[in-house]
Amino acid sequence: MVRRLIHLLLMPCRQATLLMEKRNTNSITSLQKIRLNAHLMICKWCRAYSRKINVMEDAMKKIFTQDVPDRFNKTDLQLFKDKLKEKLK
Amino acid sequence: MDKRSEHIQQWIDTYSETLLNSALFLLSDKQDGEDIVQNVFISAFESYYSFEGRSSVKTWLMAILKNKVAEFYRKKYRHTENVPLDRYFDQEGSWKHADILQDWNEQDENLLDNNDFNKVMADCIDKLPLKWLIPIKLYYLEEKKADKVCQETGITTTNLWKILQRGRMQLRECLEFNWFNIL
Repeated sequence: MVRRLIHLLLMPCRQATLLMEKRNTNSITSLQKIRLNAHLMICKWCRAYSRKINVMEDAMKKIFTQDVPDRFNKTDLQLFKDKLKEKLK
Repeated sequence: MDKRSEHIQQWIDTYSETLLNSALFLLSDKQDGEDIVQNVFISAFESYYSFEGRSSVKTWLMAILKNKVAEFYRKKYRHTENVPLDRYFDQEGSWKHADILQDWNEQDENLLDNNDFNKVMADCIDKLPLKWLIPIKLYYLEEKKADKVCQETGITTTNLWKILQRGRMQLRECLEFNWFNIL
């Protein structure tokens, strides 16, 4: 019952979780932010998910900004260079 | 050999490795990666005279690479279908499963310094379908400039948020299954 009320008054969890993504990059408008915070105040489900998003976000940032591990071996690399250099002579 | 060819030959030697590894990171496929990096150098060759050295060569080549990846994506996934969320939400938009309520207990420890965790995380990311993974990776690579990613890939902003939302839900599931032992 309470959850239904949240939906009527604010927004469904489906929408709230989308706004969390926007909040992550500051693409959220002030009004959306107010509504999201109100939703989070009442909805422990989304609060729990929001905490998980923060952990994932930090981990993803770390993984995506790390230097990419080398996955082309020396032979492949040399072969690639030779072929291309021949082509663009 | 003229100056242009000479430079290009040099750049192939110096930057192939970085470009190939970045392309592989973005596309998750070696052959596609090689094809695209080859096209990067061909483009660089063709537009050599318009490169005025305002940025470093590496930055310039990386910019061409990102454009090529976006173009690749546009061609391959021209019709971004809708991003379904009914696995996680019911018709009213409420969470379907209560497992979302279970907290991740290792949250405050040094989880991010744990190599095993980072490996599981990376594996989970790689399991995402490419049609979502490429925009997500571009998004982080472009320092989260949503507009830029959308412009390049032809995805609408709304769809980009949905892709991030959906991708993250799947990641959460994968992590809980493979690391947190909740599911």
